[in-house]
Amino acid sequence: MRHAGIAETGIGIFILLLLAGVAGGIYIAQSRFDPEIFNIAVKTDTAARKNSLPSPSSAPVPAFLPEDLIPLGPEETFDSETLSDRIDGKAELYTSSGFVKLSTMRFALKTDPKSWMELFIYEMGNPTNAFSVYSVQKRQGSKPLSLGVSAYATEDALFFADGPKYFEIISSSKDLAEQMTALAKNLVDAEPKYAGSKNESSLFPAESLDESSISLHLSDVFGFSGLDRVYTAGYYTGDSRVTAFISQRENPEEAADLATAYGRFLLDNGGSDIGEVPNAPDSKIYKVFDTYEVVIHRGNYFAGAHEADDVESAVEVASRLYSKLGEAEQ
Amino acid sequence: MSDKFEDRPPQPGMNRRDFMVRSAKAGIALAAAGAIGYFLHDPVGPGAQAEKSTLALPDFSVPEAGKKIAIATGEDRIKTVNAALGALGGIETFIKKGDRVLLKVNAAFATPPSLCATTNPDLVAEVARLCLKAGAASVSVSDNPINNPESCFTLSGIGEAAQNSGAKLILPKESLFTNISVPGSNLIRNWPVLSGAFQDANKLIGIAPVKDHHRSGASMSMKNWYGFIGGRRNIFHQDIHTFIKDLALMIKPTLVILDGTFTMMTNGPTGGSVSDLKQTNTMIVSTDQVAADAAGVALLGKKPSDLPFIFKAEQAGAGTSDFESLSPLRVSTG
Repeated sequence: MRHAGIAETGIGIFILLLLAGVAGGIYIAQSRFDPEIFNIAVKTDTAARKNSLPSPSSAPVPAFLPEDLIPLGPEETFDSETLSDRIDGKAELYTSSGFVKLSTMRFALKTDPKSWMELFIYEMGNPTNAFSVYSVQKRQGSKPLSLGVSAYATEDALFFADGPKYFEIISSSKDLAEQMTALAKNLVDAEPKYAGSKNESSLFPAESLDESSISLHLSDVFGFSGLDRVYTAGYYTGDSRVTAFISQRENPEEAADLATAYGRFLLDNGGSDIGEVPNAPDSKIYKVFDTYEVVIHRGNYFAGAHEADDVESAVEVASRLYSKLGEAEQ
Repeated sequence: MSDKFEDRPPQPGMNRRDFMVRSAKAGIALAAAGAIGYFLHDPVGPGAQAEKSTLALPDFSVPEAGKKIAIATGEDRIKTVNAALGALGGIETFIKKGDRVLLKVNAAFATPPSLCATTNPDLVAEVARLCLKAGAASVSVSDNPINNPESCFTLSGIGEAAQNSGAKLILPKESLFTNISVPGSNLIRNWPVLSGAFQDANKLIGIAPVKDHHRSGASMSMKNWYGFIGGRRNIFHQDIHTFIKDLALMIKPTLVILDGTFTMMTNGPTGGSVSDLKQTNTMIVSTDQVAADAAGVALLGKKPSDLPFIFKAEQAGAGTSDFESLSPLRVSTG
């Protein structure tokens, strides 16, 4: 077998060192973020905001517009690249939940153009995503709105989810409720009808449930990156309010593994294991600082109670949830 | 040298001459590849503007005023901002005759004042009026909003308030942006900044509402400088806390005014309903922007340690998060 000579060995070492140097240079260059590389000209930025404040008469009238409203400008649309040009730091809430497109348009009263409202239509890809962004932003103290879809009203705005779209109508005053509601009804009427699919939120026990509080969280639920697609709901137990949660997984093993992983997450973050829920095998009760967390799993479901003020309320809600999950299994 | 190969079996088809020729060819190929790479290298970068100039923004602080903070409580913004300024010695402590004052407002969104997503127009008008009364030669109001500037200044009411109070509105025209690099900054390097708004100013006052922010946890005085940034600035949301620290290094204001009369507790920074607001009846005025934010964060039910950008800004030397160390002057307007 032929051996390499000193010259060949030297050249080989030199080339290897050269490659290592190049690799090191690339690593250093990549690790130093240089915004200049992403510096798209200001011209591009201003182009993204091309709409100036329009005159009331300049935009086409959408078919869904009630008679007493007029457009206050043309429709603007935003995709996932430009969404933050419209809603800044809240864009991530949508882009992490399947966001496709946002359309916005302003309308004013025919009789008083200074009384105006803005319509936001978020296309979220599917009804689950739309319900998620609707539910996680729900305002406290809001009133349910009878539109035949998930909807609520505040003093100055309406919010609803219909099929794969999430709608917001935000007004400049508290005196436009009638016009906002008429606009919302027209929008719902114009949308295709979606048959509501049954999901795990129907498994929340009805007693003392605050139905308006049901929410769907799609990712990083309770600060745990391994937890996704979780429905939560509020329960009133005496003076306490407890948040119950359910997530349907692919199979019982996944549900059990998730319960273990979430329990470990709680322990790693200052929690302590303080016992089990009676008659709920494999359940765990954790004390996390001043709150209590119950984690259960049954069949394909991972569930429990989150951040309860007292352990009795947490166990009571979790026990009822465990029973309900048993009914679902049968 | 030939002896070195004598005791090794010769390689078929390869002798010293062949080796040297092949090595030379490999060297030429390597050199050619390097030359092509050098020739194709673009030092400016894709889509980037050539650097117009690199300059540091002026220091607008008033060193003789020292580090101060006043916290006024009350329902009426006009009364609380006057009370807080009065506790600091009056606006005259900061604004002198002939000064040219720039008011940096938050006009980010084309939303009505009732949502408190933007600086309250009455507050803008009052501060402009106080500056002019103190002898300011001019007062300008500016921001580079997220949405269309004309719509934002009109629908937020800030444009009208500025004009009615004698202030000049500076809209973010392309010609007003210059690429700058901020010393000590991680992210603001050769990036377009609305430096034209500063051109004639020798005093700068930031006026911002207290808001929840989905990405950074809070939008207050330091985050307000985001409105001086141009280009595709949304990329900075990926490292928002570092970027807010960089903003605090970029701007050395005369004063910051943090309006917590109503605080946007949820769904920030846009909000969307008065239901997102809580009446917190607080006005904070400070020469230290980090201290102002550290004081303001309590209105959101949070602690300074909950917001990494406060710690980062303090570490970078932009101010102190221990606002109590400045002995806050607390006043109530009843």
